[in-house]
Amino acid sequence: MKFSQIMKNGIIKDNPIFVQLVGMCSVLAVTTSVQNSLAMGMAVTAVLIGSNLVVSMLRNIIPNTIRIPAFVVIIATFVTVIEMFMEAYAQPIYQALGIFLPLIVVNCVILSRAEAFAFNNPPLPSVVDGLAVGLGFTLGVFALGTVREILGVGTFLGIELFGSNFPAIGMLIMPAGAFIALGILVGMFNAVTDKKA
Amino acid sequence: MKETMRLAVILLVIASVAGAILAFSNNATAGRIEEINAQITQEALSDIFGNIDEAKELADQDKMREEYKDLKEIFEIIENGESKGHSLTVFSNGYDGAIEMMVGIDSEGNIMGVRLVNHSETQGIGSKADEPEFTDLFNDQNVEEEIEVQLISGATISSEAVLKGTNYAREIYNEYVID
Amino acid sequence: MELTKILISTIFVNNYVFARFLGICPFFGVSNKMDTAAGMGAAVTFVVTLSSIITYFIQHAILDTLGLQYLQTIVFILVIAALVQFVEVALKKISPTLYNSLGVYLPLITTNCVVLGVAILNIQEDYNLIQTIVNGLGASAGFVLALLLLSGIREELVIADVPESFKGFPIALVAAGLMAIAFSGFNGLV
Repeated sequence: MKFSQIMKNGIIKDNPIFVQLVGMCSVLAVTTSVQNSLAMGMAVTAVLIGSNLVVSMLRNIIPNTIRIPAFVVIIATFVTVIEMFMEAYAQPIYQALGIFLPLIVVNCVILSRAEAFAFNNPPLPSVVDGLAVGLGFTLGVFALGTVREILGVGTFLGIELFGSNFPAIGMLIMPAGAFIALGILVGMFNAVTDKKA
Repeated sequence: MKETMRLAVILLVIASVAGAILAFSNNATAGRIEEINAQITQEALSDIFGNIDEAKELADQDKMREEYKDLKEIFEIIENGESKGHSLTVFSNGYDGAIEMMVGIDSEGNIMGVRLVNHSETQGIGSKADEPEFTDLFNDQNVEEEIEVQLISGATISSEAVLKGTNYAREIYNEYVID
Repeated sequence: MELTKILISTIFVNNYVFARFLGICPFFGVSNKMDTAAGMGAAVTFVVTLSSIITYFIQHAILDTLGLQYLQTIVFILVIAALVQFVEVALKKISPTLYNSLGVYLPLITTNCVVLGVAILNIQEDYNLIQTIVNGLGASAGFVLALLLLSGIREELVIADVPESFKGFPIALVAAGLMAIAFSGFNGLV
């Protein structure tokens, strides 16, 4: 498979958020602001690349029967390391992401890439796949975060866009708004991609 | 049986390597994390009290924590050899986990400032409880009586958590710190 | 008093699905039919409660005493994975009927964020053993409630006239959002 094909699959055709709807917990929870969304996207991408690389390198050593626990250990290691470095060097973001940082472990995107791709492919394509799916994920959270922050607070990355009279839809920042905004975004994504096909 | 052993050994090896990596990066970051947290406390202290020579940790805090388990730490603030007041750091339950907050009280029992040290309240809503427009409402209130402030509409849970935390600090102050 | 508060809070006010977004994957995955939703709910309740208790002891007896808190995530997830596997094997032997109805959901539970989320939050909130159990039960009850409600709505949605590109997940998400609004009415109850 060509690298460009892998990239396209991860970002558009099998976009983890808009098409597969996996890893939803973190998607809905952290997209209250663009900054948090990007931070989460980057953390997930880093874990994906790392775990895909290691799983792929060990794919001939790990027996099939214990592959799931082995994957989980590898993923949890990367997540914890990233958590530690975030706490040390990006304290405010670490605080903002809160419990959703350790919960990256159970983000189904990562486990499913280990299982579906990295376990059957050599290291280099696996890294590309991790990068592609990670970018697809980041793009998804970025879109949702942008919509929620601009319409819900009237800011983008904390910068005020419309002055203080902007009638922000506060509900979009609340949990209910997360569900509805994502529902509408997925619907729109479907409408656009269906026409192409 | 032999097969099971082989699987167990492989899994054990992976887990041990993982443990070793984690121990290593914990070592690499622990110092820095401690430094950052100390720095955040220091910033909040000088934000409330201005110039300070020394923040002295109060004795017997373990005993206080038995009764008040959400107490983190109490400092006595010293400047030019004189006590300038006390800072109480407590945890209060916000909308999204614990809010770590510092309440500064001068030697007359008046609140000098309330600062949120660490929190993960929703940006744009709960985070309003972290802005001066709200936290300044506490200033100059005396801790002899129950503290009251106008809560933020739309961020009731977060602002109420800050109010509760302040009154919690007030109780500790009245019971243990005041002579 | 404290315990009722935890229970009501986790079921209604801070419902793990609607307020904390935990357990969303299976929430949308298996919520298209009422009876599968009930099966998943039962399996989750079982695993969440059991894992809350086990992780409580591991945290306090092993990780805290040895100062190994940084191993929390990795140890908890391994415990959960092992527990799920164990429950699966045990269930197969003890009650094949129950296994047949719950079996398919069990592997999905390892990656259900509710399980790990509850285990971590128990430690963060500094709950004692009883509170831990009550929180686990409340969290699963809230999850089951949300799951059943949504599956009821989705069964009706099948016959509704929804725009083509909104069929399936998108409209389910919007429905869940409307339910979250309803649930936010419980705010201030505790």
